Amino acid sequence: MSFSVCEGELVLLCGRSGSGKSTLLKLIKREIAPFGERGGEIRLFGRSEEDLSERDSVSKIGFVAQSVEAQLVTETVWRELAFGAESLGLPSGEIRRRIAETAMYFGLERLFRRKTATLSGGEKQLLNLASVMVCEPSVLLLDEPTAQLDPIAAKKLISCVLRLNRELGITVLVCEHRVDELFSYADRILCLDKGRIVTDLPPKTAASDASVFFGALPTAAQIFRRLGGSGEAPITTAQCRSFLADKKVTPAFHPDPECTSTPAAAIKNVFFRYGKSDRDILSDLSFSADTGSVTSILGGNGAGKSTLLKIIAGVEKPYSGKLLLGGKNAVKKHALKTVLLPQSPRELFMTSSVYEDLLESACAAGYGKEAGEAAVNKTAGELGITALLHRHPYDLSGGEQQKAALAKLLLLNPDILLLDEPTKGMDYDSKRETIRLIAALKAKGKTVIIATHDTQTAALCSDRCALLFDGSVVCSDAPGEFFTGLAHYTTPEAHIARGIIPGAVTSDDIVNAVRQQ
Amino acid sequence: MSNESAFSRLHPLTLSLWFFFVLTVTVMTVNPILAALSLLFSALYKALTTGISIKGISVSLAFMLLIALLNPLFSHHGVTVLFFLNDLPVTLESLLFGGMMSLVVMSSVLWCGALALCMTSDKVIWLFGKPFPKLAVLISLTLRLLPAIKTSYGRMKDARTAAGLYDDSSPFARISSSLRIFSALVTMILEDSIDTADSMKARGLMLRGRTSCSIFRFRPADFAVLALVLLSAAAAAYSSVSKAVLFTFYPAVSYGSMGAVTALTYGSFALTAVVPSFMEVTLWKQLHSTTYRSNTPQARNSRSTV
Repeated sequence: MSFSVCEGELVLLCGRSGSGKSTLLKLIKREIAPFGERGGEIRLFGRSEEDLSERDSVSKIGFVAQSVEAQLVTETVWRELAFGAESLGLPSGEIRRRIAETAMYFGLERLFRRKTATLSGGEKQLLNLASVMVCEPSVLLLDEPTAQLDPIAAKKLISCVLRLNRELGITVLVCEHRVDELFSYADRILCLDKGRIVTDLPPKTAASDASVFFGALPTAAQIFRRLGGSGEAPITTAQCRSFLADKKVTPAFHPDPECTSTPAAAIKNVFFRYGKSDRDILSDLSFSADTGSVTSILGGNGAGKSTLLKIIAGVEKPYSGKLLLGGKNAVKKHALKTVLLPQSPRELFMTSSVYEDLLESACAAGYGKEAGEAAVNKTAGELGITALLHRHPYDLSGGEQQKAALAKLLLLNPDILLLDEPTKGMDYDSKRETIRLIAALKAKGKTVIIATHDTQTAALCSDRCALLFDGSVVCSDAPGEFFTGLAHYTTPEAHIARGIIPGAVTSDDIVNAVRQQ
Repeated sequence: MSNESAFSRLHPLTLSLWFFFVLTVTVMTVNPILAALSLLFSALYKALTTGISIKGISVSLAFMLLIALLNPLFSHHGVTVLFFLNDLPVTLESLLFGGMMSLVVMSSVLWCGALALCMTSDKVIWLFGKPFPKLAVLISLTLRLLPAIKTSYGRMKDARTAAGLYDDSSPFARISSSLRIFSALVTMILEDSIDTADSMKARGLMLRGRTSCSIFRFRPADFAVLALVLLSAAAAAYSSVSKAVLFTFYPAVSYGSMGAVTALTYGSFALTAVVPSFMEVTLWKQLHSTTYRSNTPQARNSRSTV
């Protein structure tokens, strides 16, 4: 492949997982270039890569990877900031000036003397970016920097990247699947497929170009493509609204959810805090999930979504209030089996192969040796991970890890599945796959409770959504009503359809509303 | 840095020399006056920073009494025999020496507590980082990893508990469950360390001529404390060579006459040892309610009663 990037450009790299985006970015940064055979030439700043001095390669090219935690090296924020400048051998006074200035630019002053372990995920990634900027690079390479962040932290990070590009003229190459914000601001969209560049166009043209795959488009352009629009595709909410404005539409119709009998899990007036002198995480919270339904719990960072799941799973105990599972008090007797899929599924793996890990579950569920092996193979087949059974769990991609973890949990024959941020950091294809899996679980009669930030997924897969704020449920409704009722904390599709197509909250709703005319 | 004591705001160099001097004198001395001064000021500093409780005082006193009483049981030197125990003499000198030892041990314990409070990891890294910048990176890396490992362990345990795979029905089961998590944790750490290594390489760990930056400044207070430490150290060294503060217990208690040098040694040591408490009292004097103060339990109680 061949391509070049001009100074000060913002280039968005997109492509399905395995298309070679990360490899391409890492090749540009000599220190971390993957081993292997390489042909061709990489030229940086008008010179061949080999002519670039070691110091220049370190300082002129900055790299931020997706792993938020593992990129941190030191134990305090200011030392992390100083790391790169110390490597360059700068005198103490110069380092102090640089870290002070960078901390101010990124709004890290309040965190300056804090321990890195005490920061939130968003703060950690912002620190990772800031510590790269201390070396004053002129090119910034970002490898899915928001993959492990919640949407609010992701927006903050992306706006910082945009500022660096716009205000300081820093050349940015970013690969990212959260494209709604970045797409319209990018100077060029580079689309990779199987190790080749298939598209190299400015965003407006790229959005209507067939070579750009569907998942890489912003929501606005996806709707445009699904409706078979012609001409220049909309890439922002406003553009999509004017595209829809002159269409004749019917209001979106949401069938009433079928009434189910008893709630599988119910929580009554629960209060919870982690320590005696901490604040209440949950206060007077009441919540229930019907048997065989999918319920999404939404809410900001620290609203208590994960804590609520942990309480239902029996990992944490509330200091006041009741937890009922299948109508029975869960403290005395676990009437229904609950399992919890953690935010990072790899926390569940204990052995060096997926197969052994699944077998552990089968044994715990009381299967004998042969019955256990049969059960493992059957579950793996259902989830489509038979080919992965003999791989090391850590060698799987994020989506594959999640499936393997889910298989491990399903072998325990759970009645209630609790999923913590199941679509975090996933690209379009993996998200679709997760939504399909959730639907399959529902079809099997399992009760699913999801804690998520992802409004799009919640709108697509749930029967009921609940908004958690200040420790209790503020509103709870079927997704159609839920997301039309909320003006800001809602799906991008609902933003687009507001006032044009009443009640539309998913792109299916919009497409159907237009097509029916 | 809400719970920072005034003394710990000094420069790491000042702090380390101060602690080196005071701890050396405290541990090496056989002079009860120096040991008593050391205990007095270390206890005062503890009272001013972390606070002391009746329970803490009684436990410490019992500990000191134990040391004082144990010595005469094992050491039978000395000329003043108090009584015989199992045909062995218990002497007054030995009892007094035990008392002196208890002062030394107690004050050393208290000063070590103060050291832990004041010499934060940042300062330790400064000390080693100046001459060996890569060692500074290593220390800092380890200090970051320890809490991270603890968090990951907790998460993995929670994940298994939620799935009902964490067996804690018996002590043996609990140990085997923990070991299982621990072995998986090691794999996870190794996996993550690849990313950490990349991040370090990308930011130039391999470059020659690394420096170590610090955010500490040498202020007038540092010069004053450092001067005091040097003066006291000189006085202590001179008097230990000239035997001006010589104090012997065996065979009979004897001590030199009180001269100018002796007075200077005691005085300068007392002045040096009182510095932390003095700074603690004076620095916050103008601030009626500081973050540091308001975090102590006493302050919280008094606020709620007002």
